Amino acid sequence: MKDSFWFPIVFMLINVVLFTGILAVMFRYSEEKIETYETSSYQQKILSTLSAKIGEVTQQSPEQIMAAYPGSFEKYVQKLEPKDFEREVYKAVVADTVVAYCFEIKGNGLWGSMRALVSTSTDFKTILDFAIVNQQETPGLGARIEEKWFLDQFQNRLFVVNPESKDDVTQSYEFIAETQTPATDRQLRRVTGATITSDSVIKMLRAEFNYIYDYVRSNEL
Amino acid sequence: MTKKEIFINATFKDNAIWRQILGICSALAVTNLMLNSLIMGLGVIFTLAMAGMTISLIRAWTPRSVRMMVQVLIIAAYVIIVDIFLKANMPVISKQLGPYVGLIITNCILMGRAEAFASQNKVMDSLVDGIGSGIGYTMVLLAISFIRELFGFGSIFGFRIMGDWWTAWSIMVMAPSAFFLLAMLIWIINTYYYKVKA
Amino acid sequence: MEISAFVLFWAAIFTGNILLTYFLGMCSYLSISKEIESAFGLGIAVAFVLIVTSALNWLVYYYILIPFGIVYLQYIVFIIVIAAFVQFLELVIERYTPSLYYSLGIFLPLITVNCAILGVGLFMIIRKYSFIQTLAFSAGSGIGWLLAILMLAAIRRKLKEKMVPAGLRGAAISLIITGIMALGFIGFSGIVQIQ
Repeated sequence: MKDSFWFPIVFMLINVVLFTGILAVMFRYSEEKIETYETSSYQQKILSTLSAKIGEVTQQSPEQIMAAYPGSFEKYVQKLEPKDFEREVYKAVVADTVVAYCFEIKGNGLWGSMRALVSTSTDFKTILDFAIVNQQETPGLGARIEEKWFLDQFQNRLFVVNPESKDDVTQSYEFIAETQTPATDRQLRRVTGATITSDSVIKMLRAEFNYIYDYVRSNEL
Repeated sequence: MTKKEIFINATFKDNAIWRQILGICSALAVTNLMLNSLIMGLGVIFTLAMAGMTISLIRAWTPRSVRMMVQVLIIAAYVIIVDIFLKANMPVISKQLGPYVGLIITNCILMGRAEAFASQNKVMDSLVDGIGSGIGYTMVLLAISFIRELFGFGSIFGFRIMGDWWTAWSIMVMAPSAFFLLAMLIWIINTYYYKVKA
Repeated sequence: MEISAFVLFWAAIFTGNILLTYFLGMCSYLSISKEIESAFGLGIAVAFVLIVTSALNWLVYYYILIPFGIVYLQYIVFIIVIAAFVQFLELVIERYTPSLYYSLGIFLPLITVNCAILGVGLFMIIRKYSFIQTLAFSAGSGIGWLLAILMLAAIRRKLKEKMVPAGLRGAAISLIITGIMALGFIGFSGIVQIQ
């Protein structure tokens, strides 16, 4: 029977159905749990990029704001749905005044796409804080863009330097070694051995800021 | 062969990396940090054991013409099962394992052992062989990453060892260093374990 | 992505060589580079599988996986397509060039898990290449892999084995040679942007 023409095909089909069936069942069963965790984790990331600003205005430390999750998220953060704007955006509101915005941005890394959250000042020109949501870079190399020292480089950084420009409202940056100290504000420290990934982060920020600024020039969020 | 012989063979004598030259791609990618090596190693041990047993279980029924597809299907399925299970129950660990999912499925050791052992041997033997191969693989990875992390980052498993006076060796952070370290490891093993003569 | 297929083809061979820049496809590369004939045979086989399966997987991804919303099965589907094609290739090689079949040994089925092949497949998805770009990219990657294994085989042929310490012969010295080649290729990085 093993040598008949149909047996291999049937055998293969049975195995495919069996194993993808097991996977599909596991997937459906775990879907809800995974989603809950991912939502909570995502919201906390948003909160973390806004916590410094919120804390500044409400006289609390960022740690206190984070510790008060989910209450602090519900109190201070609201989701916006602007028309024809293809990114997720949230605003941080204290006593009916908007103090900051948080955008989800996307880009391409070396191995896959990356998603990040960037909080901006209310004039959309300064990056307040920056956090990576998702990336598929090499662990220990490109993945190090999630390390605090790399992300902190973007804190309170003026990013939109040519607001009048029609092509590019941002400027180019030069990468220096991780061990050096930036001499000008156009120098950034790259992750050692991960030039392409470090570069992808800058590319993503610049492209996305152009998209955002282009939108807010003529539209209300 | 007794179970003990199978285990010694798989782990040492016929070690996947230094003898069979399999699993090299991942040995280059994940050996920058010891923690990454450990996680990858555990994933490989588990998949080798489970996939080995399953492939061995159905070996009498597997037609030669589709055996590769079946092997690869089983290997991939187990890796994804682990991935989904971790995502739902241990999300923090899952985040660490995430990038390795693809790397484990294409790890030549899995296919290599499936073809060379599991498809021709009994179930419990395949289990022992799988675990042994996995442990052998993990040992080599940990050895290389020990050097790479210590000299490239000044730490071991994330704990800082070298003081501030230490300048990190950039080459240890880049992949080519793994090439050289692995070559030296093989040299040492060949000379002192297999006692290869000129 | 607006990169010409022509540029992609050359970039995939030199500045973004799948083996020397991305370190994919190492296992068989190290083991089969002892003889130029088998290295050539394996290289051609890998290049062939790369081009055909990348094209197939592109079609499967955009015409089956996405429309049916089963993108999470991406890994399994891609690798089964590759496995099926390698299985078919094994039958052909065993029938028509048995000497190559024997010299390749276990590394013929291992083409299935050659990370270079799956890697190219995943790259084309995340870089959102069109079908023509995928063909150029996979052809270039295949030729790049072939060139790399031929380079190593040629160097090993010239290497006076007697001068290499006993413990280093074989895989170890190949690793060192490859490491040096890889360091050299780092010089290419950033020349052409293919993503």
